[in-house]
Amino acid sequence: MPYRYLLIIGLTIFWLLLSGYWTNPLILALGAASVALATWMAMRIEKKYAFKDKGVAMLLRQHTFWPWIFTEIIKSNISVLKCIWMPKTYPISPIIRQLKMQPQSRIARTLYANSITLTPGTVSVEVRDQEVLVYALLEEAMEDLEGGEMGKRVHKLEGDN
Amino acid sequence: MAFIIDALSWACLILGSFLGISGAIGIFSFKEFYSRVQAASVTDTLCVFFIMLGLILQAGFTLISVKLILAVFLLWLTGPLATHALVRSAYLTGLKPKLSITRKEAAKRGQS
Repeated sequence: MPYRYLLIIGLTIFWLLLSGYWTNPLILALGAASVALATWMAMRIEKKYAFKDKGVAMLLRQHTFWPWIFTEIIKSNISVLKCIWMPKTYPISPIIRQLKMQPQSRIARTLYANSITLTPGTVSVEVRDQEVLVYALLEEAMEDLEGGEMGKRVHKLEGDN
Repeated sequence: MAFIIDALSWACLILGSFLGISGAIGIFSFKEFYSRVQAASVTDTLCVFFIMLGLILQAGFTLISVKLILAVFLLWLTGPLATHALVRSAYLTGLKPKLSITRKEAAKRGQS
């Protein structure tokens, strides 16, 4: 199962970067033990929800998504800052609405809802099967989401099938 | 060269602090829970990013800066989860957001 190996490799790199002691055998052994423990626990958690093949493919396509979400975060930060500092000229217009989701798989829907929450100005309140309830501080932010640019990009990460 | 890097790092630190202060002011100046969460998410995202960027420029590219990048990454991954949990529990316990459009109009557009 590729997920297990991916987890072991990732955790090992993570541990090595955080520790910085790469020569002491005792500490390395302790690190190996903790990686094994963490992997075992993660596999126990994942047993119920089979981690489908989508995960690895999505991980490999992440580089196309992060730069875009970063520019999006900067843009929405600026619009929220305007509302904070100049409430007279830029009044807030709170709005809540149920949106359809394009992404299909569980992990893509999680990523989509998290991206909505990560950008200031919008928060995903509740996720149901194919719908997400979004609260937006500004009506323009909601219209951007309804335009579906973010959903399309997350959907593209999923690949074809 | 050292001066340029110093200046850049200080610009980043000051910008980050400004964003953090704006987030704090926003939390106090907005009127209700849901919009206050939005102000807090300014601090969650770009404030953290700019302060870490400034610190990385100060430290030079070593193992420490890799740890700082990991810290930003983890914050950006886990911050939305905390916000979502907070907002969802507020919504489920019946705290209604104050909206700019009327309920009837919202219902027509398919709001639950």
